Amino acid sequence: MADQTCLEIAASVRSGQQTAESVVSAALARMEATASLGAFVHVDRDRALADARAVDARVAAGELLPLAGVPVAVKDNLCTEGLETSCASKMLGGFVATYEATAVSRLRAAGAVVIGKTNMDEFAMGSSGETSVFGRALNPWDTERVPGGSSSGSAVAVSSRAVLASLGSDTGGSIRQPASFCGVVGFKPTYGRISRRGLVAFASSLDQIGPFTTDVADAALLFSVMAGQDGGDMTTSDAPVPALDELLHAPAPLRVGVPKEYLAEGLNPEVRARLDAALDALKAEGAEIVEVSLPHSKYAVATYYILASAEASSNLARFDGVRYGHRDTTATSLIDTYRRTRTFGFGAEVRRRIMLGTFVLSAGYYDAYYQRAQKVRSVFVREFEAAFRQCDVMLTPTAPTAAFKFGEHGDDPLTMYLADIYTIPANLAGLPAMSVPAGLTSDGLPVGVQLLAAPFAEKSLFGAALALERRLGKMEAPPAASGEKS
Amino acid sequence: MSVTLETLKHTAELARLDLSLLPLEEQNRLAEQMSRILAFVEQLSEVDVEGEEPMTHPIALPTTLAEDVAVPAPGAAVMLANAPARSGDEIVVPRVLDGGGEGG
Repeated sequence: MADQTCLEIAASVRSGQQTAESVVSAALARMEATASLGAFVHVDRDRALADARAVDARVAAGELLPLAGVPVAVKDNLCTEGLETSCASKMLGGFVATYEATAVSRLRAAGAVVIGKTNMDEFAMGSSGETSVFGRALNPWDTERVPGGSSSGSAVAVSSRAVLASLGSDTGGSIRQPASFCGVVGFKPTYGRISRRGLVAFASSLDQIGPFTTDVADAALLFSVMAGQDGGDMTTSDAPVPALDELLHAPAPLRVGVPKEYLAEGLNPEVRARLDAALDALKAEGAEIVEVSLPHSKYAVATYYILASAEASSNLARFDGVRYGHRDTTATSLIDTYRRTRTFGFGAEVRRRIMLGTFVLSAGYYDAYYQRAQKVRSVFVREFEAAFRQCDVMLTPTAPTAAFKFGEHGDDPLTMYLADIYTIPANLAGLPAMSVPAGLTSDGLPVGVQLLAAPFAEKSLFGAALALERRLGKMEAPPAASGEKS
Repeated sequence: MSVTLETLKHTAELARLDLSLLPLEEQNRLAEQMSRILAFVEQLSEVDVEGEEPMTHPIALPTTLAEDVAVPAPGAAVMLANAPARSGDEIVVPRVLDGGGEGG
């Protein structure tokens, strides 16, 4: 069953070949067998099995469910009914949301069964999974290496085949980078495609929800179920969502752009080799390779850290210890309750970003930092618009390296921030982007390549991703998929 | 720019954090890391942004209007279940007035 796809599981449950209950109970068993990888942080087995039986009843009643019986794992920053949502932070320890994220509700309505919440960097701030209050998740390909972040557990859950689909959120690469490190497909849709109602906000002008899957077709399946306008999120677009069949039969791209700035400096030769293999694959599918230019690329990380931190400092102001979550009870005044609660409730990385964001928004610095970064963002968007006049999709590395070792970036936040250099531009410009597995390094670590398309051009993106997967083959499960290695 | 402990303290006050609760070593490390991050982001001063509009969202989204209809909301019991301290249907907090506000 672990070698099936979501499309196959749903088809077999719909046709009665297997029950949702048997599929979910097998997923729970695999989750247990891989528990040492630290992918899951909140699980309710009885609820999952009850939900599975409810799906079986709906199937028996004749409902045609696109995700019938498909077990899914959900990042711990997406609100789920009856299951804790803690953002892997002390600040939200024990918090059970009063409503469910629209993306999760749509999966459930389509027949999916949520089997658990996954580990992550605290409040989605990190690139290695190491800032979680629950401790780190391990990369199934090499347990001494990070799975990437911030959606660490969602990538590990799919890579280890505990589930074949999970949800993450992507603010600067938090789906695509861990997908690359763990050898799975990770997809960030266009800004505005998927409702963020019920996603604990990090940086509202950058955040987007998306799936991790073992192949491209399953990413299309989850996207087609979740996408579309939602009254609960004013930023969702009313643009028509392509039907699943359209995505699955999207043609290979005619023109593939390669931004020359992305190849210029410091790209690891192993990553370069996988990128070249991917370019050859698309050429073999009939694409013409076009050199494009994004001259301001080198400013993306700086722009991102100003904007994302500023928005985070504002969004995280709501955690005050009054209405829900952690409260420090040693304070004797309300103002001290705020201060003590926030100082001890947030971890070091979250505190650092709140401080940075508060600083760049403060009087005297707003124009020089925050507003300047917003203006540079306009420049990025225009550069992408120009580049997409010359090509249908772009192909880039997903991350500068394969998965790095725990602690490798030490105490220097800047070197960790640079791990997101190729993924951040898609968030700044709101573009759909996908990391697709492109083979292994000589050390046997997976490497993904990133496809980018113009806003709302998911069809072009899937056409290119399917073409890549056809030529390069689907990535196999990691040798340690049963978890005994750790 | 270099972030002094004074700037750090002022910024923390705006963010409703109290860094003096942390070991001095951690305060110094935070000041040092913020200085390095700010030095790094100062590269944006090289970019010519003359005439550029500040961008708040990457994609132009029209303002959408919601139907003016009441939708069911979770009841008080559900909303209050997450409260750290409560008395009946009220959330209990430490003293706000009479020295409890800006006094701390």
